[in-house]
Amino acid sequence: MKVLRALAADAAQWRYGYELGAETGLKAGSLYPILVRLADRGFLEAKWEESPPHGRPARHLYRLTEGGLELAAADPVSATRRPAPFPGRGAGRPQPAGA
Amino acid sequence: MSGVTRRLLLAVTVVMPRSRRGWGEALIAELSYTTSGRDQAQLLLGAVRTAVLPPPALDGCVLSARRAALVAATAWIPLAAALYLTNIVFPSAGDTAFGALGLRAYLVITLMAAGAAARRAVQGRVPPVVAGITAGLVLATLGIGTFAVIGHLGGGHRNATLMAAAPGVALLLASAGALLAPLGAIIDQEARAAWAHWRRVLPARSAGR
Repeated sequence: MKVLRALAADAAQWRYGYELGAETGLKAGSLYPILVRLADRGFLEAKWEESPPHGRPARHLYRLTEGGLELAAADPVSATRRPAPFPGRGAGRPQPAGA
Repeated sequence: MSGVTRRLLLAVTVVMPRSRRGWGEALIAELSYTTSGRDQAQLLLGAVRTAVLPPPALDGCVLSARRAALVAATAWIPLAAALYLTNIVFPSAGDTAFGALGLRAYLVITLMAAGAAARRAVQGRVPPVVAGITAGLVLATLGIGTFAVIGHLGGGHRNATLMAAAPGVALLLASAGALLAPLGAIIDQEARAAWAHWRRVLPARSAGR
């Protein structure tokens, strides 16, 4: 999965959605639902930018969690297709900061 | 366009589930960094898709509903062909008891299969019920559609009666699905457990002889 690979390439770095979209070739219409699903499953953490450019609003920043890194290292394609156990027995689901 | 997109994004964010609103706000923030109308439209699409994503707790139900819909739609194809053949190509004077019984048995098996398919995809008690209701509604919709087409092709004027019966048929099949699909899930689970047991036991017995 392109998004996982892009995020795992520099795991410590917080990334912008726009940047990820440019890197993966995914448009925002596809990228954000993927990011939401990754965050829902506890593979992605998000936070608000602390010092945005002057006069511009703060943006979300994203990076993989430990679980996300393990997923990227293992078998991202099959692992992301696996449904979350029902009901609510899955991994932790951190919400984006400020959500 | 930016102003319109911002208003639309705000509207979508407002209707998002509370747990998703942070994502809506993130998309609104991204809007200030985009210049082309196409990128802004993509952000709006991203917001709409985020808004309609099922919450994680419902993932299992959504997956089982999809499986059930697929099972029901696939099962309807041979049935629709049979109905077409017996009503249009080789019309008979009336419905035979055998045909009516066969139709009911086929629907029962389909609803149970939908439950089994849901259980294989997701664990839990609720997904087979959701699968059964979904399969029932899909069967009702396809059934009403098929009979409407057959009625039209046959030159009959039964469509008004059919439409009047539609809600009742949908309710009946959805209720039957809610009961039969969990039963199908249990039978499938037990059958698979028994099969796994015998696959372990039989080679051991034959080796012991």
